[in-house]
Amino acid sequence: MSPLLAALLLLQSAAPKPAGGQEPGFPGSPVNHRPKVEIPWNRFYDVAEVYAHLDRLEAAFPGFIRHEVIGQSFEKREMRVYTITNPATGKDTEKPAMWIDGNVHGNEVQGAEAAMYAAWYLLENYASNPDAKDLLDGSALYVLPMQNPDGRAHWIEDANDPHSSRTGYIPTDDDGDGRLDEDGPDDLDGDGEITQMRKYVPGHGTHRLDPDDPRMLVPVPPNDKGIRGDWILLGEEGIDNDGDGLVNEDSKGGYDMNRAWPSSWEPENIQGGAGPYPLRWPESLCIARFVLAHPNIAAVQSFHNSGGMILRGPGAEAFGEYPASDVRAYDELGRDGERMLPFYRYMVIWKDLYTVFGGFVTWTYEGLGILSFTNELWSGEEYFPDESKNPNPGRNFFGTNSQEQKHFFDDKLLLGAGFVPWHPFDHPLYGKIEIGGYRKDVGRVPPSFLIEGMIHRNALFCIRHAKEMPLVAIEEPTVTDLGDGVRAIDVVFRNKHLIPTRTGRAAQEKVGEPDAYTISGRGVEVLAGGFRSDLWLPEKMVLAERDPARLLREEGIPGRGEVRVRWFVRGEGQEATVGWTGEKGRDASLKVRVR
Amino acid sequence: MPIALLLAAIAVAGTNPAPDDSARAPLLEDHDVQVAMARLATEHKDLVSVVPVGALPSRGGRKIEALRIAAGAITPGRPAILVVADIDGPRVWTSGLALDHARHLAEGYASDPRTKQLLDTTTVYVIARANPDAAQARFAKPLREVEATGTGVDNDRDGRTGEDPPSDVDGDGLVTWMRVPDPEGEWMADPADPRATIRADRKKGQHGVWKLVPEGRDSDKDKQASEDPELDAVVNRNFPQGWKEHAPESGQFATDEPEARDLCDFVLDHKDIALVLTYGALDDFADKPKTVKDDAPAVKRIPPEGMPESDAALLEEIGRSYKKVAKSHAKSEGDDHGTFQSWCRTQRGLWCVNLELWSIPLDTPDAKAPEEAKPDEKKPEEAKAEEKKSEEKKADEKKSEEKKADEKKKPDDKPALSDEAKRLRWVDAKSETARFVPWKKMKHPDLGIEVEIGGWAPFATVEPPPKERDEIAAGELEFLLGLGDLLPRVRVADCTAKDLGGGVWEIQAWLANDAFLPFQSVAGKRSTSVRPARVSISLPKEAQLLAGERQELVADLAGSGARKKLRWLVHGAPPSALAVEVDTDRSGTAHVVPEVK
Repeated sequence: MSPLLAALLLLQSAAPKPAGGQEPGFPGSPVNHRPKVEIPWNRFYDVAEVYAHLDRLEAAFPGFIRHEVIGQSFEKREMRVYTITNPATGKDTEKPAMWIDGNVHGNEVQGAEAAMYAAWYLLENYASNPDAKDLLDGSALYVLPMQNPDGRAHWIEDANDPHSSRTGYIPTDDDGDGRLDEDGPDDLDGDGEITQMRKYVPGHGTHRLDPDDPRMLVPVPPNDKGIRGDWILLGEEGIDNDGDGLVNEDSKGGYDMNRAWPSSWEPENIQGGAGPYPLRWPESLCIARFVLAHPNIAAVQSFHNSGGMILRGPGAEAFGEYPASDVRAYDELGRDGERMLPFYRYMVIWKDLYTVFGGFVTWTYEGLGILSFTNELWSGEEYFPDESKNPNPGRNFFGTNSQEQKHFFDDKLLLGAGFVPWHPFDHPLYGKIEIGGYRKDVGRVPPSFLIEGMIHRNALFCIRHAKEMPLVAIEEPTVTDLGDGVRAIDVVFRNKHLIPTRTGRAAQEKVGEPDAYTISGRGVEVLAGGFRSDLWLPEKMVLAERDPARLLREEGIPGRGEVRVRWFVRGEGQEATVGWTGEKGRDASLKVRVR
Repeated sequence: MPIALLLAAIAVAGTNPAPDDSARAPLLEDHDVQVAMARLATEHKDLVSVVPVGALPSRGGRKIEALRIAAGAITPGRPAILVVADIDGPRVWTSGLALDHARHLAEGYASDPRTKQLLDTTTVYVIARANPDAAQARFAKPLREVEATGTGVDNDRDGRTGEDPPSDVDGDGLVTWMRVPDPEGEWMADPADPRATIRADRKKGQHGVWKLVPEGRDSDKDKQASEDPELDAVVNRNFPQGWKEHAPESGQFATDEPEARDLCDFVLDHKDIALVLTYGALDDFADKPKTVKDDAPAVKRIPPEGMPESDAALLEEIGRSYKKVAKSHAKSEGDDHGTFQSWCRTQRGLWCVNLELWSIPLDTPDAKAPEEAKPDEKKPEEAKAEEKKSEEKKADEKKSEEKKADEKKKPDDKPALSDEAKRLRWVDAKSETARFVPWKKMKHPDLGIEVEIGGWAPFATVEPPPKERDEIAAGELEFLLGLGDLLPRVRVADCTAKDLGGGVWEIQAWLANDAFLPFQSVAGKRSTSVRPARVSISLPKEAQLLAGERQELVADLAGSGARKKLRWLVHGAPPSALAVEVDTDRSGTAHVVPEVK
């Protein structure tokens, strides 16, 4: 048979076509591909539905994804971590792993879907895509879709606005009056939403109606023309439930589970929402114990909303600067992220956003030495990506839009579904008012038709990050005869990926265990050994004080770098095994001839 | 054999630095502590109960419990004092002392007016054994002074954790110290007393010859002895205030150690606690604390370290009363980073009095030089005054291990004594020989060189002789009995109604706090942890509040007779139908009907 024919036949048989022309590997190629597990990515799911989707993945990809219950939320919902890896190539604990979570703030729901999507995408593409295969063969994912399932459940099921239900649900005295959760917002008009209240007070107001659109209020600042506003804004829908003269001042919960983490932790008066000590909340504690029990975690992403950001620490100025070598790795991933995620900016938390003490990625990096990002998903700029066509930019720091833009988008692209029209109401304190405004799923989460793009891009950013977890290869063994039966064995340990086997932070603070560089062989006696520091002058080396057959290195192997080792050996043995072992990379070994 | 002789025999044998024949502060094993607590609760059901401290057992599986001592119905807002003993571990004797307090309170209620006054108005919680795991080391063989009870780390970075702990190398039943000859060693013998080991000071031309390490083997054969103990985390370094991340003693995260979390939870669950009294390694009265101005600004959002001046002034005043009833003692050992005391004071806004009840005195005169020893010839009262003066002098010094010029000596005389040498003087003078094991040369089984094994015996520097323990207990109980009167108590001093006509009444109420301590400290205010006093006026439905706050939160009320006036105008109800209510967590409550004036 001719080679050409053989090649053609080979090509044809390479990718078996299932019935109906449906091939594996989705998404990416939208034609002739169908996922094994269909998950509509244009909406957000409640807690049970999130777990149900992941359970379907467990059933469809047996062995590749399994879950464990690591604890319970305050209201006794399961906290689950899904481990995704190819079991045939080794246990998850023997591989570097990426931790992906979302939804520590109950209203910031899209992180759960983004985390699910990353798992789903890799599983769906494992069989047909070499990158996906490499990733699941050589590393693992730990996916915890919801750090705060109680917050999520309440945000979805109860009347809320875009910002409420951020907290956990342990009753907390927010206003110092000795009562717990006694005065939150109220769904006065029973429409299932917490919107805004406004009141018509002709000549005594701070705002006036926009002449083009009476749904909008425009501020009327003090002026020299005697023009007064006719309307005032009264805040979120609610009444004074506890009769203390304040409205909505002590809602359910009242703490911030992303201020609970042990590094750079500060108490309530310095960091609002922190609680009385780190990891006070049951959700936070069980997550921390899992992460501490898995020192193989070499990359972290924790999804939030919103604003379009790719954030890294430090969370507080007082910390100082991160080691330059770690910053370089962060910068490369951050810059790629900015290209993969339109309108997202790579930022340093305290400097470019605001100070956060006790944040999750502050702890995973400063405390545990893991390169960690926290993305703020969704930017209002995605409403109108083409600035040239958009008449009134008015965008602010958080990427939200002017009122006019929001209404245009809602009217034309959602047929007004996002806005509750102003309607009259009789308020016990304020009298005749109007209630109205945007629903809770407008502003911080995207409209349904833009969800999949958001979570796909962010999931692929996770994959970009995960692909850079350390990969160590042992290469270029050379033997030099020094006479008298003594030989020098030179070996290069290479880290092919961007993330060092030990970050600068880990080395600095002696987090975890140093890497080990070993040599052993029958009849091979190791006289001395150490790390070489010069390509041309082999005697320049850091000689080990003891135990030369097992060299330890606090600094690990740099990202895309190498460490050169020289051992002095003698003996009759012909062969030795050179090995590398470390917390954040798969063990490597190489058989080396020593005579 | 009579018990005294038996105990003396044990003392001479050197297996126990101080025999346990103190009547008031005996050395109690964990089981005995629990039995004593249970018995007290059973014998005084109306006054004493046992309450759990947190939900977690120690890593060693031991419960921590507290005694709650109070008389009568415990009304909301009634303040509590929390006494915490033996949080550090080695000060096992303080548990006995704390239980002695509890016993005296329970037994004294019926007969002693001061005890009655205290228990009628104040609740007393006593956590006698805050660190049961570390305390058990006091009863183990071989004897080893232990502070670390938690997560171990790889101290020597060799890929293994806890493989090279301290141990009893010379078989004397004690884990003491080793002087290991080492060219890079920083330690040397004190020329004034070669038993004492001091850090060499290059500025004085000294050069060190030893490494000073706990007695132990070189189990991992790395030419270092006992450098990687099994456990590293110390409970009283595991609290969130000033927690030092990545230090081995700090643990994995603040409150990871179950005892630390339990203590935090106890404080949080018992909002009535107004003042914490600790018997540990920290002392508020030996040294002047580092202070900052009350309004000192934060730097990069972190408040500056140090006690606000106003709080320090109040503490100093309490210190003066303290020194009238209890013996003053030597300067405090260490800093308060990551401690329970620091968390209570800085983050919970609690009043705190921290006492290191005893350490080996540094002012024993030289027995061999009677002429120069002015203190020898002083009368006891003068000696006490002299001691107090030298206490205050010591309070100005910062170093603990460096040589200090002794002003009584002639300039060309023997070299100045280190603190270690001063302690040894006390040991010699009191014949407390069991406390210090003479250095003995020995070929180390692993290092292959000759080392010296000896030095301070375990617990020798923290456990007072039994007789002194009894004396200390008496003084400390006196102090405790007076503490209740210091606590802020908010009351309505005066509540009047003035008829303005037309059914309109002017209601005036004066909040008062006559106690020495203000409603909250400056640190408390800054922490925002102290719930303000909630003052409200209640009216029947048909009445109207014409003017004034229906509910007001008062966070500021000074001590020593401070007053705050509140006013309302009410219409449509007689004063007898109104009430002014004050609600606090720990400074009392009030419900007062205005009096017509």
